[in-house]
Amino acid sequence: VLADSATPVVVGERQIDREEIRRFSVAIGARDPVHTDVHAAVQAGFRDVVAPTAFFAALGLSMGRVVPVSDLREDGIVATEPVGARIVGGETSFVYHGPVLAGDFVTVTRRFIESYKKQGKTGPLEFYVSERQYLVDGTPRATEVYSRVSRQ
Amino acid sequence: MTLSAVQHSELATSTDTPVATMSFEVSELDLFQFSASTFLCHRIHFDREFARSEGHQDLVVHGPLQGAHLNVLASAVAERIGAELGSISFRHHTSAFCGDTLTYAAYREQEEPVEPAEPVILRMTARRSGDGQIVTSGRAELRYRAREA
Repeated sequence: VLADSATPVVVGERQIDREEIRRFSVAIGARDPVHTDVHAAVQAGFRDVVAPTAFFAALGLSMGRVVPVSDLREDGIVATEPVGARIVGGETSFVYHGPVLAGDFVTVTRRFIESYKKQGKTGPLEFYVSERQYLVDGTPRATEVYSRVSRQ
Repeated sequence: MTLSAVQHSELATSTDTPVATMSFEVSELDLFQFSASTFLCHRIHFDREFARSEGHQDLVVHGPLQGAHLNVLASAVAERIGAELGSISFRHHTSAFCGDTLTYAAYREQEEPVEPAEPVILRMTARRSGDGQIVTSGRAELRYRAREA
């Protein structure tokens, strides 16, 4: 799915809970207690614990990928994904508009932006650029633009 | 957890001196926790034999984990100066492996002090131990919070 819909399609939506924010924060070493302690979050002026900014990337990575082992390839990647030795990640950028809190219902959309070719050191490269939006109640909390690079 | 606390330096220094650093000694447990918390099942991150059969020297550190650490570092600098992380971008240049120590550093991009309404721009790197090569580089924009009138 390197070049799919140019109009945004919903790739997943779900409610975020305290425990997944806590687990992710511990896994990445985000030590601010607003991520793990509801009292600290409330004292800091939030309704509930706050996801670290990198949580958006985790959402984008996991949505559509929580599948049984029977739907994985031998290397552990979801069978329907067009990845392999000839496709690698390029640049990733995020613009943060606001935080996600426990209890928020997040919708993730994706749209294809463009593809272009460039000469690499070992041959031609094709870049595919896509965007993900992370919305709460229809309002973007983060916008991600990422590229995948295909070696010809 | 083998991620060190962020070490801050004076902000008004040259663009060659990091304003904040932290280090990450990569262990199997760090890689497992990140795979588990994101449900990423790629075996190169937790199955050493498989990773080597794919041509890697050891278990591969997730690129998104390095991106997350750059977020942690930039957020810590933002918090220290009363700003917030407005945007971040990063790209990976080569792989890092289990057993490496990654050193993350954030540098001021502007040489001159910025006005309170202007964003502070950080450029960031993650270097692996051994050959000191930059494995990931990035850029972050810190915005000062709007002040009440």
